[in-house]
Amino acid sequence: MSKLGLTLENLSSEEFEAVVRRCEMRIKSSKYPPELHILDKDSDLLSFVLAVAVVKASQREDAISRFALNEANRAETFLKTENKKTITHIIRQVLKVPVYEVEYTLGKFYYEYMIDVKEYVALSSFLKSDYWRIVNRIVDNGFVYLRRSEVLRLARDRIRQELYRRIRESPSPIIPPRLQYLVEIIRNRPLPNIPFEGTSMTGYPPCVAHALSKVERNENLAHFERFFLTSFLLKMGKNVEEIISLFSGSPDFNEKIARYQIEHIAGLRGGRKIYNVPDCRTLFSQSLCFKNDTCDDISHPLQYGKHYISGEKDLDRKRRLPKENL
Amino acid sequence: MRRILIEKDVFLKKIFKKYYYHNITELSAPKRLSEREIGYLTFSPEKMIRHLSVKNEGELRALILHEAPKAVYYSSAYYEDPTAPINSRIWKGADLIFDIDLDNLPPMDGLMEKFFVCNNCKLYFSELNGKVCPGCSSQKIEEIKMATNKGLEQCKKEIIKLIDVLTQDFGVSRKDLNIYFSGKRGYHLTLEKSAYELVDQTFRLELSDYLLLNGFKIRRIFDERLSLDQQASLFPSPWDKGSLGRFSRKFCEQVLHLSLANLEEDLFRNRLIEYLSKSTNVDILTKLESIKQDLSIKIDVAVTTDIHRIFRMPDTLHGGTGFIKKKIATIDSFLPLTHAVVLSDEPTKVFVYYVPEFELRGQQFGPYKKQEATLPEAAAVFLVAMNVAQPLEGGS
Repeated sequence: MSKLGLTLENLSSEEFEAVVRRCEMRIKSSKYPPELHILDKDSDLLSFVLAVAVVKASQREDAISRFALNEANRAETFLKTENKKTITHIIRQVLKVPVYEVEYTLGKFYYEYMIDVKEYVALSSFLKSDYWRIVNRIVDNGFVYLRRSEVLRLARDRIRQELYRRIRESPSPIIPPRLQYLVEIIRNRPLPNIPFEGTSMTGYPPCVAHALSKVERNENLAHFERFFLTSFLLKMGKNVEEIISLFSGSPDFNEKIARYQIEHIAGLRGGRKIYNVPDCRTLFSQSLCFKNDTCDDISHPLQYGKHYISGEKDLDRKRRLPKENL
Repeated sequence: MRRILIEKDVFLKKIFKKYYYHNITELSAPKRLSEREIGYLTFSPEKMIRHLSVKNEGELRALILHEAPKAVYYSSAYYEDPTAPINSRIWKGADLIFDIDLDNLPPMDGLMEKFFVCNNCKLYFSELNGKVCPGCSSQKIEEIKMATNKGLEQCKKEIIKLIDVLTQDFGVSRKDLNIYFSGKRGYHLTLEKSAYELVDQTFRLELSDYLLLNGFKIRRIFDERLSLDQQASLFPSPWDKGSLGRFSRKFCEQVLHLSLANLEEDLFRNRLIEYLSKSTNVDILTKLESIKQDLSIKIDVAVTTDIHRIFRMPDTLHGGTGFIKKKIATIDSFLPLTHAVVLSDEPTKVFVYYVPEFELRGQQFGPYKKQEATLPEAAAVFLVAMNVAQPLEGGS
């Protein structure tokens, strides 16, 4: 905006009505259609900047999270239409991901990019599906080979994370009175359900508390994390409705799908199998273990609390000898 | 004749001290020594001393000479101040470390000699039925595991596989890999000062899973839902990169019985289609699962993922065997039960409670059962350190 010599105050004038309408669309809809591109380049960009200011001014974490996800999805849609060279340029220069172009065919797949394996693991760590883990990637000479769609998927999440971080860290703007109604649109949205109000999260094992805190912040949980939290809460006696309500604030929440999945885990659908809560080892292997002193030597999250609450634990009993076989 | 027993730890410490006195100049410490935490384990009373640091190799040697410890350790991590309290230490990176131990290999006959000892009545027995000693009903039972040449050869195969994957897939230079016999039941591999020294636990876990093939999807190679043509085109070539190429090479050798030398794509594809068309899905999947087991490298995940681990110091004696943690120049010709046995041949008297036949430096010993024996110092220390013999006066 400063490049155009504009302030938020300027945008409240009638001259920028189209920009304001576009901004409203951006903050209202989770399906802001990419084909609506474009008023003109500057106006579209201005509507984005205004939307960022409005979302920040709303002081709603869930709105920041949802907005970042929507805009990242939109960016991915545009990136898909670009040629290889442009994609490489944007990913390298804008997203600061050192991606290299290659041409490699393996079986029926054509690989167009490679990324340093360390960068790749950092980029993909939020994607919990086994598909994204390096054990299921082509890794050669310190690089991971990727198809175009895979690079774009990674780029999308880098955009989401960056946007979320930057909005959170930016100072809260003063919205001109004429545009204040945009902030109210967000503020008037019902608050997502906070899990089990009045229950102290300290009673949960750290892995569960971590997942619950993400839900509270309206962040998406990875598939396995959601499965873990659901199976744990079911074992703790929560019912399907309570758990659906818990997840309702997630940016990608879809009640029909959520209900189906929760009922499946509860053994109410499909093969009627009641799924067990994953053990600590499995959670560790999925990077979902956040073990601390309160865990003691438990091997399963459901064992937590038994000796912690009963006070049998000796928190100072650390300093173990190294493994005998070393 | 009345036997005069010597206290085990006094005996071992004396011999360790003598060894270090004559050989301390051979100790070669890891790089960036002053940035690492140093620790050691004392003989009786057994106590772990940690959070030390030394300025240089000379200071480390002086420490070892003075203390003659049961074991010496260094941290794989580098810190701003290695002596600072653990919670306030500034972590500056860590070597990539790998431990391949007999305990982590799939069960197989002959990898280890296993038996049990009752630390109350010193009865030795091969099978443990229940949780108590069959002689005195004590619960102080200890399982003794002695590595065999066969077992250590298996560990060596894992190390060779590990070197292959680290150099091919992760771009590590072979000359940067340090390989050691651990001094007891396996091998260590360390990578110092590499592009990977700053990677976090998430990466180390991902790397561990890559090596173990944890979570590997067989459907990347064979999908029973596809048509024969589609299956054949999905299947990777032996020349492909990464783990898929490795799978295909193993498949060629073990299943299609094709030699990789001078193999051409057409011959490979034809034989593959022939095999796929004649075999059931169950057969194919069983074979691929078996190859996956062969290719999986049996590292100890807890070691590789721990960025604050303390690890045995190279060129120091193992308190559980008296062998040395030995750096290996050529893995193929390395003989652990010869090259890592560094104590002397001086005749040493011990009372052996029980030990099956074993081999050190190419010489066979035992079996012994409740009897005195005069053995070379290295063999005597091995048995005493393993807790299957007691030193006698007038020996070493």
